[in-house]
This record gives sequence, structure tokens and C-alpha cells, in this order.
Amino acid sequence: MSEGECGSVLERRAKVGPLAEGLRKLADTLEANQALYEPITFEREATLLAQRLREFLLREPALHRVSERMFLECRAAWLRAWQQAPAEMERRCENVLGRLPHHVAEESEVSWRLHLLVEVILLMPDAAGVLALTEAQGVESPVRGMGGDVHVEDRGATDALLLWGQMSQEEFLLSWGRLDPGLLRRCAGLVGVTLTRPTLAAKRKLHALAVRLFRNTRM
Amino acid sequence: MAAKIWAFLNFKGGVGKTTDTVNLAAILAKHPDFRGNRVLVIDQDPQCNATLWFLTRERYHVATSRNKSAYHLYEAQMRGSQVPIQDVITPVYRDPESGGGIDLVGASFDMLEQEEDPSLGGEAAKAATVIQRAIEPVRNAYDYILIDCPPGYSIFTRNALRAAQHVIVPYTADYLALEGIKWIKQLRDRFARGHADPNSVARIGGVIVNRYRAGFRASDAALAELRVVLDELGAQTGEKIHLFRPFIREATAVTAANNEQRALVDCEPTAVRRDFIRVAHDLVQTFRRHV
Repeated sequence: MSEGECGSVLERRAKVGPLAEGLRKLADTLEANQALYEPITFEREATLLAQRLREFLLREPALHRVSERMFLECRAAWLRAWQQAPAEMERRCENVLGRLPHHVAEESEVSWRLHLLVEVILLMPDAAGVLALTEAQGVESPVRGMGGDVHVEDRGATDALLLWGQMSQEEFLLSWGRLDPGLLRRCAGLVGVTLTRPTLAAKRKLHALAVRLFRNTRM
Repeated sequence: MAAKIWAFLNFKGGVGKTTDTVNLAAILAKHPDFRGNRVLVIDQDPQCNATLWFLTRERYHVATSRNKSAYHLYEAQMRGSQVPIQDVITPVYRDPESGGGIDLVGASFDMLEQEEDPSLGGEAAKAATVIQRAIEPVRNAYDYILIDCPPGYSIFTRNALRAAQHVIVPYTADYLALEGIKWIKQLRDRFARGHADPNSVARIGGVIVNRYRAGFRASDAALAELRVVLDELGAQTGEKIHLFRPFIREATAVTAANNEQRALVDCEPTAVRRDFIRVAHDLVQTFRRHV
């Protein structure tokens, strides 16, 4: 590992502290709201959330742009939006994320919503972005499956997968660095893969699934 | 108003054709949201699964011994005559209050022999219209006619394609079931090309996803593939192929109900029962305006 890379990792790790602290503040706020959440449920949720956020911090360079202030502003905007129009927010989030909530460790509604919060912050790291989410227009309606599951028709991600499916593995791996992380995440979600880390194995798996999608859908 | 006619078809076996046919028929006839509908189920599969499900083995033997099965419609065609469909109908459910009910034109294992002669001893084109001609006189007596097809392209499937307005494709999230959908499109088009009026052959109306497993990676990938194929097929035909919602979840309640020859609508409320009822709503809404 070069000195620069080492510094970058250390720098990322240093960011974990304030963000995790922000998360704890969120935990405190929610815990205080006993009418909505059981403390024991909340503790579990907050732990899961902190853990998940830490994982994101280690792998998502974009998070360097997320300050604690931004995080808290996002959170406030987010909670306001949920309070005002929960059904609409649910729909918007599902559309933006374009994936099933089954990756969430605990399937309770609380956990699901909190995890969505973290992920949306990752996608739109400012309060204006979160608010814009609530006002987004022209987003396809999600399709409800069973329980809380959602199936979104994500044309962009489908087209990308079909394109990658026609590439050789080498071509795909070479193009990886130029690919939009958000698009990668949506594509992975579409074929049921959780991209926790962009390891070689994960990249190969995504490419294999793209090849399969292309092959199986040929008419 | 003339009945809506749907053929439940997928060339892949075990995707839920019979389960969808019998449960949707029961919901349309019995559930309070739809009560009063008159439903005719036509079993076109020589394996007789829908027939055995409605009648049980004992009543199946009684019905076939009284010539009450689709076999006799085809046999008449072979003799150059025609049997009125009323003669082969077995009533299976009546609601005196609402006037709704379910009638059945059962299948018979003897149909396996007829399968070997696709022209039924005469013109192939005419042999494919036996069911269409048989139901024409009673079409106004029903609200819905549901045809359970065999998993293949036999004379019985071709009859269903001529008689129905729409093909409803039961699907389970796997590659072979997806191939089955592609084959339906190709064979349907090939069949339609042989007719002066291609519109006289049923169009693919939509897909019902059965045995859906939430959070199962293979299901997600297969559904992504299904959407691509439906988009492509829709673009080819200029008509959107509907993906009925919700997806019907995998549940032991379905197997348990099938084993007891009970419709889910007659069982205690379960999530999968709710799925079926919602799919029935979606089906009715989707084809509401289609005459």
C-alpha cells in the first residue's frame, strides 16, 4: 500500500468518529420518543445502524463529503418529511433506492426506515437533496410485492446490466473505475446482490449476473 | 355482457397454471368482492388436474361415465358432428343468493389419445375451433371463462388460443419458465399467421408470478429477466404485457389447500390468500374494458 493510500484509509477512519457520534445523537432523539419506539427495539436498531454506517464509511469515498452537520440536517429534514407524508416518503425512497429492503438485518419497520435514511444520505449528502427527494417528479411508481418488499422497474440499471452482459469479464473489470457507484448499487440490487465491498469476487459476480441477464433475455 | 375468456398457459410445467385457474375461479365466484359472478372453467389438460381438483376422483369417474368432459366435444368433431356444451358441463358450485357459481367442462384421461391426432381426423384449422364454437352459445351466460391449458402445444392448447381473448401466463421465477413465455409468443404468432384474422387468436395479456420468495437472490434476478422479456415482447406487439400484482408468495397454505381440494378463498385468511384476491382484482381491472 502506498503512503497516499494509507493516509486515505486513515483519513476515512478518522471520519467514523463524528458520524457515529451523530448517529448516537439520532439514537438519543429516537429513544426519547417512547411513544413511537420501544427502547430495547431502538437500542438494537441504533447499534445496527451505527454498524452499517461504519461499514459504509470504510467503503464509500463519497462519504468524505458528509459532515456531521450535514448528517444532522439531513436527519432533521428526513424526519420532517416522514412526519408530513410517510406514505409518499416511503414510495420515493423505494424508487430512489431501487432495491428491496431484504438486505436489512432486521425486518421491522423501524429498522427498515432507519436503514433507508442512511442509504439516502449516502446518495444525496445534503439536506436539500433529501428535501428534493420528497418533491421528485416523474419517478416510476414502485410495485409492491409481498410484505414490505418493493419491486422497482429501473430501466437505467437494466440497460446497464444488459450492456455489461455483452462485455467480456476483462472489459467489465477495466471499466469498473469509471462506473457510477450509485448505478452499480442499483444494478446489484436489481439482481439481488448486495455490494458490500467492491472486491474482485463481487465484481465478477455482478458481471456473471449481467451476462446471465443478457443471455436469458435474448429473444 | 359476454364473458371474458382467459387461457392459463405456460409451456413449462409446474408453474401454477391449475392452481391459478381454480383459485381465481373460486375467488371470482365466491369472494364478497366479486360475489355473483358466473364462472365456467374448461380443463384442457389431459392430466385432468383442474377436473380432479373440482370433482375429486369419485365424481370424475361419474362425470366421464356420463360423457361429461371435453373429450366428447372433440370426439363429436372427429365424427363430423357437434355436441352442445351444456351436455358436458358439470355444475360444481352454486350460490342461490347471489346467482353466482362455478361450472366445469372437465378433461378426461382419454384426451391423451386425441392428442395424437392434431386434426381430429379432419381439417386442422377446424379442429382448433372446437372449444370456440362450443362456448359461443353460452358466452353470455357467464361472466368469466377460464381455460386451464396443458404444458405443451397440442390441439388442446390451440383450441384454447382460438377460444380465449387473452393468455394469462403463470410463471415461477426461473429460467425455464421464462423460456416458456418466449415460446408462447413465438407459437402464438406462428399459429395466428395461419389465420385470415390474426386477432382471432388470443394475445398474451399478462403474467402472474407464483411461488415468489422475497429476498431470494435467484428470484430477484429472474424477475429482472422477466421484465426485460416482457418489455421486449410488448415492444414487438405494440401492447404492454401486464405483470399482475402482487406476486403470489410461496406458502404451504397453497399446497395444503390443494391437497384438500379446497380453494384458498374457502380457507382461513392467510397472506397468500390475500395475494390471490388482489391478483383477481388486478385481472378484473386490467381487462374491464375489453369486450
